[in-house]
Amino acid sequence: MSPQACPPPPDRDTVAARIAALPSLPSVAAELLSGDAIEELDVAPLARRIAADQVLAARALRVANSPFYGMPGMVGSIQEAIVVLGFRAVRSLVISAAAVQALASLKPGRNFSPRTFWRHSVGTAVAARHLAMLSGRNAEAAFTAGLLHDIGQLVLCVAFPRHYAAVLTRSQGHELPLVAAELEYLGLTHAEAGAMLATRWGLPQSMREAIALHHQPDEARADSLVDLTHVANVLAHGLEFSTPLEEPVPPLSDTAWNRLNIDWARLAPTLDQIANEFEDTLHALLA
Amino acid sequence: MNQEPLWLPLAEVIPGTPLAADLADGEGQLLLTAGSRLDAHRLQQLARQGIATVPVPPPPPPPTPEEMARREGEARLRMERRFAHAGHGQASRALFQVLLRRQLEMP
Repeated sequence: MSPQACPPPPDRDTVAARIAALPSLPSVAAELLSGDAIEELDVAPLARRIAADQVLAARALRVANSPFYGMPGMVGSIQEAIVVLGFRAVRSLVISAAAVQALASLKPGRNFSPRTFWRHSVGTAVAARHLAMLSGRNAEAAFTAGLLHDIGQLVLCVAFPRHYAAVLTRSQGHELPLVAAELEYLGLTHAEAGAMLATRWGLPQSMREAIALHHQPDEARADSLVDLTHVANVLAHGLEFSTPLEEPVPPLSDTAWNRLNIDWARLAPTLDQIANEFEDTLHALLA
Repeated sequence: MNQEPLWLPLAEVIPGTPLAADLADGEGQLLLTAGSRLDAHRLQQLARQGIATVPVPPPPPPPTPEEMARREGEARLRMERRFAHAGHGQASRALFQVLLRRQLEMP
C-alpha cells in the first residue's frame, strides 16, 4: 500500500479508545495479577476458581505437562500443578494461557500472519525462560514477558488494520525495520501499544516495562525483565522460529547482554534446548 | 543410496530425530512408522513400553574439504543477510558467530 492510500496516523485518544475495546483477560487471571504477595495466601480456593474456567485450566495444564517442565503427562489438575511446579509457575502459566485465550480469537487484518506471530512469541518465551535460568533470574516471569512482548503488533493490527497492512508491506520487503514503519504510518510502535494493553490488563509494572522497552533495553534498570526479553527476542529471530516470514535479526544490545552475565560458551548448548522445547510448548499453548 | 539404519539406545537419541524404519514391540505390534519424529515425550513413552533401542538414520559420510568450504560460504552469506539490520555491536557479532557455528554443526 502506498503512503497515499493509508489513512493519516491516529491520535493518542483514538489509539486509547481502540485498545479499550479489545478483550479483557479472563477474570481469574486478573485475580492472579492483583497481588504480589499472593504466595502467602491460601491457594486452594484460587486453584478451584482456575479449574472452574475449564478452557483456561486445560491450556495451562497442557503446558505443565509438556516436556518443557520435565514431567510430561504427570500433572492432572491445577491443584497438583501447584504442588509439583509451585504457585509462581502456575500463576505464570495461567496468565500466559489467559493472554493467549484473550488474543487468539482476534481477527487481524491483511498481511498479518497469526501463525508467524505466535511462533515468534512462544519462541521468545521459551528462550527468555532459559536465559533467566542461566542468569539466576525469575524464569516464570521471563516466560510470560517473552510470550507477551509483541502483543502490541496484534493490538495495532486489529485496531488499525489498514495502517498495519501498510506497515507490514513496507517491513516484510525488508525495506524498513518494523518499528520504523510503525512510526511512519501509525506514529507509535508496537512496544508502546503493547504497554498500553498491558496497563489496561493490569499486568505488573515489570511486565509492562519489558513490553515497552524490549527494543530499547539500555533505558531500563539492570535487574528488570527487559534485558531477558530483549535478548530472548533477538535469539528467537536468530533461531528462525517464524520462517518463512522471519524478520531480520535486530541489534543485540551490548548493555543488556553484559548485564545478564551469561557466557557465550553456555549459550550454545542452551540454543539446542530452546529449539527442542519450542514446538511442544507452541502446541500446548495454542492447541 | 539406502543405508541400513543405526540402532541407538533411547538415552542417546536426540529429541526430534526421525525414525529410520518402522518400529514394532516384542510381539510384532507396530508402534511407530518410519519418519515419525522422536520428540522427548515419545521417547519417554517408548521407554515406558519397554523399548530399549530405536532405528535412526546413520550418520552421513564426512564431507570433503571442498564441500565444507562451500557449505560454510553459503551459511555465512545467509547469516549475513539475516543480520543485515543487527549492527556491528560486540554482542551482535558474537551472536552471529554462535549461530553460524550452530548452523554449520547441524546435520
